[in-house]
Amino acid sequence: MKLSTRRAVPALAITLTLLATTACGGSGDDSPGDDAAGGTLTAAGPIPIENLDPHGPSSMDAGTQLAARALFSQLVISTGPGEFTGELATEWEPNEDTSQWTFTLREGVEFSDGEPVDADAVVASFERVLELNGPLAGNFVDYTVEAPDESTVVFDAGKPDASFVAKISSFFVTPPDVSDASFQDPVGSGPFVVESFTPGQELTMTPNPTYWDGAPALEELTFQSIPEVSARMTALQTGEVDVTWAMPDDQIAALQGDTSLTVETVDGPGVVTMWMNSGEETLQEAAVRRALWQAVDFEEITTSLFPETGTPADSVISPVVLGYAPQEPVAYDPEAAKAALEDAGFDFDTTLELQFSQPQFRQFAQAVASDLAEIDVKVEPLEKEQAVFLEDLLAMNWDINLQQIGSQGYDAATNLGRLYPCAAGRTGYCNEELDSLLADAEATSDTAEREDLYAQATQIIWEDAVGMYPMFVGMPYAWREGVEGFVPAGDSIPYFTDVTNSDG
Amino acid sequence: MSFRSLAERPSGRTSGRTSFRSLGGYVIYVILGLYVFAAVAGPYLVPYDPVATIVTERLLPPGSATASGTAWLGTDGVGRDVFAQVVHGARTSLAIGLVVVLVCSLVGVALGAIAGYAGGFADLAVARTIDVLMAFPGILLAIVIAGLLDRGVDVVIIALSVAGWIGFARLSRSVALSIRERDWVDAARIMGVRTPAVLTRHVVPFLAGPVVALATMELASVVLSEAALSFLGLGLPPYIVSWGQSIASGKEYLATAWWISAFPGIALSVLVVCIGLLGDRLTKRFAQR
Repeated sequence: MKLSTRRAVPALAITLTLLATTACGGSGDDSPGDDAAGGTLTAAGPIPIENLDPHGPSSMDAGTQLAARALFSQLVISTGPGEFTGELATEWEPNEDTSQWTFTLREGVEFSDGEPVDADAVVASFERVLELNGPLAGNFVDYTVEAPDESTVVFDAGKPDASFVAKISSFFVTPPDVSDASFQDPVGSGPFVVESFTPGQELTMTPNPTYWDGAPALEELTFQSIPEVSARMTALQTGEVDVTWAMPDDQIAALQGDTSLTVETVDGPGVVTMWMNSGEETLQEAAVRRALWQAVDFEEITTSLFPETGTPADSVISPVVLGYAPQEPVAYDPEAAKAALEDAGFDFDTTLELQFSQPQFRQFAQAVASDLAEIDVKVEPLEKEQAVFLEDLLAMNWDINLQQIGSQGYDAATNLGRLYPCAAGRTGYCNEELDSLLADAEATSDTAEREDLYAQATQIIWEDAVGMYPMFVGMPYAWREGVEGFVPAGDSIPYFTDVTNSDG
Repeated sequence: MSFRSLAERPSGRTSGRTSFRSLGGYVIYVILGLYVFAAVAGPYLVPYDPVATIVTERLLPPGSATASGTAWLGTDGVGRDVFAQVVHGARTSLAIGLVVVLVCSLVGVALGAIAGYAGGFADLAVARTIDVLMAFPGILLAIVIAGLLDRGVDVVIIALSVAGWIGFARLSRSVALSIRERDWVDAARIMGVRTPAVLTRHVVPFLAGPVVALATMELASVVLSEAALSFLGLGLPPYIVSWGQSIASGKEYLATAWWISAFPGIALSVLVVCIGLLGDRLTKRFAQR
């Protein structure tokens, strides 16, 4: 009852808008007839867009990445494990030990102001990334870049880096002469150009007529921020928003009952990862960490709390990531866990803090604490504000940590290779054998060999229980009927280049 | 005929109203009695472990059968019984409310009575402190304090007490100001009774009535503020049951599982309204004016 009345008003509004559009189309001829078919589209993702600068401090922020994929161009787009298609680049080749990568640029690509996208622009953008030293720059420590000619760029790592293509897929090219102020209304070579931008609220874009692959059919694309989940769901159901994603599982069932919506969950690179701080006395033994893992019935928790998006994990990285190797699942056995903890002399009086920042894991954390309380291990879930959580995470100021970790560019190097070496100092765990496996994997461009090395590394991490790896996270998307050509992206940052909306 | 009926009606109405009013009084006492019973005995009758979750029994509607019996008010997002949360929450709310009101009334009466009776510098200091504290909304002050410190029962009590004593101090000061001019106080002073004794024997006893009335009103607002702090995630830690937390945990399920927020919310509103009504009655009885 309530829903149908709620839907009636926007439906009426849409009808009126449609009537008005047809009326205008009949009388005026200011718009080219074919393009008008694209319609307008409003998308509301889970993370607000605070900044359009793809190079600086927010370079790896999901909101900024989403906007950047519409406004700027990448050299390559990662499409799956070890698979890439060229955007600005048509070819890319490593040298023998993968320490040097040569990219050949596409001819005739222009920025929206008519300037050419040439090797100089790529070099200037890459140098700006290094100079601003944001999160993206962490992938390219000690890199140098040069442009031997107008359409060739050479990246030099100084040491082997087989996963460079995966890392460079988050890199966007801007005009060479940008400053921080340029990003209120930036010039780019992507499929869309900015119409208006209010940080944290709304980004409205129109097609870029000079886009190298032909201007998109959509007349207008808007990214809106709706922080409250229930408000976002209502907006989708009323038609205020046409596409959304990353909905909580409990909301998906309600959306599935709505015939005007398409709901789809795609496999993503995300893995719920619960590191146990191996640097702490209570958790330094692998037997203790494994016993704690064994004591939690993750299968029951996953299927109850994340029936739509969660699948029990059998590896440290997700199946859609290059280097995935399935492991023997850790079976739920509280008695064996308790016995193992007693054998290892575990101190049952200590309270372990289980830190997390993402609210969707609140119930997950409570359920884990509940299962561990069954074997008399005291765990206190502690929800922290994102910035504080990150600070404590990097400072190793935690016992158990709960977060979703993805693999950027669908490559194990950006997960295993980045987080698990001793030098990274992220988990408290240090193992020389693991270090050399990860280093070898970086040093070879042979994919089969890399997969084998990452499989060995995964096995060590899994058996020594550096963390608990309970769940692979799928990414749910929902869009209204009328939206055509939308392809859900596993990494939660979709493209809108080929989308049309017959209802908008 | 019509005269008589007209003449009779007012008296009839008054008597009806009186009986309704006394009935209303009974209802308030019965409801408050239920809350006190729930707070004192409930936790022994309805066992509940805020840490234990049963994820397979989550979001069950009221009246559903669970492994451990029937969930009369349904279960929440991690399968915990909502009825048990309401019962255990009553203890938390009333306990914190009573402690805060006790602290506030002791501090407030002491400072207010001394300021009002002694006058001079003491009065000036207390009155200015009150003015300064009154410039901030009490709940804002509580949020700032609770936000700066770790979550815990003691922090909630401190945060709510910081601004709570002002009402008591103002009331006690004004009553003490008028009582110190009364003859029996003069008499005691002239007979050489020491100041502390004059205060405790001849001034403070006259504060009892109005302070009890004020304390009741204050209790209602403290219960509400505690729930607000817990709702915001600044109040009690997760292992202590509180209505505010229960309401907050059901926020995202309002459309699909209304019972998680609704029942603790109803319990909270009814308690606050009943305490408020009781406070009104007491104020009427003890009001000096």
